[in-house]
Amino acid sequence: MDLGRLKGALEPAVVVTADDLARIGTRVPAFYAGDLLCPIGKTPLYLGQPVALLIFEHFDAFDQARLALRDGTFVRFGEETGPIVGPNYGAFRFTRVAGPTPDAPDVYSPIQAGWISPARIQDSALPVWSPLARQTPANYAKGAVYGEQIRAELAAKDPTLLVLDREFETQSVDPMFLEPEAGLAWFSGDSSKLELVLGVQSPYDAAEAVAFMLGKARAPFKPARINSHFAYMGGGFGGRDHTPFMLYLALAGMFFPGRPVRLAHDRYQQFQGGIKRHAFKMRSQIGVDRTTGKIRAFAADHVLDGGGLANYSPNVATVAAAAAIGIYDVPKLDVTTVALHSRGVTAGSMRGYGTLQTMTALEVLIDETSAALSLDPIEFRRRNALGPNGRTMTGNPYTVSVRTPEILDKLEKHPIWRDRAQEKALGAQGGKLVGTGVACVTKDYGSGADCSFGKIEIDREGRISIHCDHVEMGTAVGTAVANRVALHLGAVADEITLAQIDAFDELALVTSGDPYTMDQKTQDAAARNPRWVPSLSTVTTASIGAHVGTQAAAEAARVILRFGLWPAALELWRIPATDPRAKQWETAAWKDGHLTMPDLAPLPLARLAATAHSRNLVTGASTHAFSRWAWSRARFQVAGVSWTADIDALAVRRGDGKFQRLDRSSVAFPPTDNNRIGATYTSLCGTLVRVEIERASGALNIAKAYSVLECGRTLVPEVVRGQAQGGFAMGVGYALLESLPPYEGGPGNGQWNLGQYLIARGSDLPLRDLEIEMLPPLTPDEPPKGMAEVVMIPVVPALLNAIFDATGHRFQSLPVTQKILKGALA
Amino acid sequence: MTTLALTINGRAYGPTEVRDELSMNDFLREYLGLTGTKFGCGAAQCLSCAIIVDNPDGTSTTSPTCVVAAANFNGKAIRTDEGHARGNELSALQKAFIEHFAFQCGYCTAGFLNEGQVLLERLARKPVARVDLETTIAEALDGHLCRCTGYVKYHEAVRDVILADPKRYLV
Repeated sequence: MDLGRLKGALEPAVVVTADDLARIGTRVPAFYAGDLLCPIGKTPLYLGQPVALLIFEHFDAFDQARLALRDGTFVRFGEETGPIVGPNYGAFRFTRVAGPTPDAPDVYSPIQAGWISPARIQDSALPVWSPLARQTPANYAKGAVYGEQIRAELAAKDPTLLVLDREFETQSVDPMFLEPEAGLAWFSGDSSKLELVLGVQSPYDAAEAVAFMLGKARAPFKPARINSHFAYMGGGFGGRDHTPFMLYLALAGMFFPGRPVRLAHDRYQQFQGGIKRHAFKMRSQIGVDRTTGKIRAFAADHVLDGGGLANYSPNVATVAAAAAIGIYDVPKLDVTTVALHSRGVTAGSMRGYGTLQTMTALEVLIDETSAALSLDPIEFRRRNALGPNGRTMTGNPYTVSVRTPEILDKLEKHPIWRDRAQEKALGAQGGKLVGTGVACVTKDYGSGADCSFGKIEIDREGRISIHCDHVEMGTAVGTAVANRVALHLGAVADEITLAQIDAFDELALVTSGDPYTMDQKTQDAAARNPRWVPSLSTVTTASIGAHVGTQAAAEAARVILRFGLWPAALELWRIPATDPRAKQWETAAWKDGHLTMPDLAPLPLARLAATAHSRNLVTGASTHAFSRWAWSRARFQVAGVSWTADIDALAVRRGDGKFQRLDRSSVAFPPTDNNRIGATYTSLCGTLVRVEIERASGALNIAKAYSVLECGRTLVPEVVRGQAQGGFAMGVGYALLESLPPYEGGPGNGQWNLGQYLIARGSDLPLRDLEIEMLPPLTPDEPPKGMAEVVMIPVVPALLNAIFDATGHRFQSLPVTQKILKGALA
Repeated sequence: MTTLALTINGRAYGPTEVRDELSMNDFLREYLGLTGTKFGCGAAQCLSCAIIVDNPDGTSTTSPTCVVAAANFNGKAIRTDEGHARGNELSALQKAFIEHFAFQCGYCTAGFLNEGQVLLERLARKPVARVDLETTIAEALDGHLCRCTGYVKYHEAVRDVILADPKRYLV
């Protein structure tokens, strides 16, 4: 480093290098494996890898130094070595062969045989997928044999089968949340306490990672205590889930003890160091019976550019592959996927989590296939849609509503679709290319091991407070949890505290092992401890805010209603325990803040709360909920009553007393074999778009758009609509505008900002003609379903399909910019 | 160093010495603690840092603060996010933002609020025809970047404030 440039007023107080990290004995958590700071003499792992932390005592020094260093010449390089070649981050194969009838067992599926990978050690850059390859594990070879048979069928010259074989590429993009990553750290040498303030989607894991990093550091760099405060965030979109930022923040605090240190990316640094969406290269083959129009087989190969660190690359690869057949019922499937290391900026979690890429490729291919068969695109989708009990890529059915026919009907009847030919003709008369596109997708919510904490207290005046471990980043988790609790307690909470991971000590929970990989025997043994759960607190991600984030609080509210407010109501209504109505607590309804029952005087919440307090009834409940594609379910004794609920831990408070833990008397955790499931929870969304394109300039205008989705009970309808509108905008950006070069010249150079990187502005969108329709829940008590990701995905293929309809050009890579359109139309 | 004196939300600040290259954004946030003004890009592209500049002729405009030196505001009167509410009483536009759930993460909101307020004040001076209202709002707010909401609810909120008082804002 050319530190000589930073003299006088620009001089940093502390410079922290890789040598310093080694000297004090830091450890890098396994998830973030790789040098946090590039050591002298080593080739960087990736473009833009941090080299040092420069800590300044005063803002003015920092401000002047950052401007002085922005030209990118501060770091001195040695001889060129070429990029580091690293092993891939994960390679997987998903193969499924259905039985002869829909009801028959599968011949082969991931849920039967487990998920399979080729051997990790290969001589080639890409995995050797052949079942006959050297070092091939037996379970892999078995699945691969079936997979190769499917490919052979697709390659055979079968005249009854339409086969399309297409390649599709997607680009690297940035989450571009408006607030760059930032945080505060303060290490007090006197108390040996490290205080952190930061905003992440993964509070518990962030705190754990910092503790691991400093856990074996030598004095005085090992804090006795780490106190993490998690703040609301200016957007996340997955990009604040497990980023290494908090590690640098903690180090900044430790190396400048006694003073608060702020680490805050500017936008250049955020582009340089922030997590990116994976660029994909995909080859897809589809085989469709020419007579019936039914898909017989599908095969695909995905290659993901994971960038410099593994991060979530293996997970993104598997989620993307498992979603590669979208809404369709396909009896023969074979999808390979590999996430590669590269010198690019690290890729990880981002809204859609790989499914945006694979389902965009699929829905464009479906459009082409239906055209080749002279079938209406919606009719082709209807003919091949997976039914409610149909099996997904991994061989399991969904366990929630699957409302594809309703969605397709809505799309088909909408004026944008109905009038498409007429509008195209009108456009032609006016010299414009007009096209209409459709796409329909399904996206899972949940990661397969999700949990939440929730604690509710109600005071004598009926004021409600909620503590929850999930985080707010613009997704209305706070409002959602308040609204869901209000369904049980009759009022919106007066106080909601989110991102709390240390507010549930009364449950005294412990955990061990990895919930994604543990075996049944291990889980059964661990579950004998009534305080054990498979996971304590998980990430606010994967569209789980409504479904998981509110679950524990909702169950806590039910406990307060049943064992606090309801017995208080019985007393006020003078209903004795022997009266049959005494057991009808679930039929009571809240109306205007009053608990109501037929023929009884409505009771205001405040009066019920006062009575519950005075009678020492339950006035507080703290719970934990865990889901592995199904909820944990446990039984407790509460006030002498057996209480079974979709939670695995419970503590209650009576009156003004302290919380007391209630040991569960039995528990059923979801079986560990559920880890073989791709997804059981899913939501659907279909989108129509109409585009108008100027032939001469390639300028594209989205004239109208319509998205229809189903997401169970909507806890905050206004924000569901907002998420759908925001997802539309992000989809437009991804399809038409956003792109980052992967390597040299890309964001790792620290020179990228919003002047070059274009996201959708208001003028890019049909603000007055963007219609969002939410299907009402199937039943009044249908649980909320996740929807924040699914609303973005169909926008992208619908746009590409509309562009094809308008221009006759089938684009197979993203983004389709105005310049590219102009070139194609020239 | 430059001597800086200005009026912020009706209150006089300075004179004080500031570095010539100190940005207005840093002056507001780092020196005055007025963190309602956000930093988004540092390149005047997202406008989450926009503030209101009140001109001597009674008109107002917005200005980014991230790329403009604090010294450029010497002698000027500006309004920031903190200047909209009167005590606990939110402005009509702030109330409309809340009623419409116009913002989600909220990081871009200060910029939209300032831009929307300038538009309201411009229309109060020079109303537009109802038929031109949508274009007027779209042109006023365009360029402010939001990644969460898709912009629709911001536009709806501004429109509702205008339509609630058509005699004031519309021809």
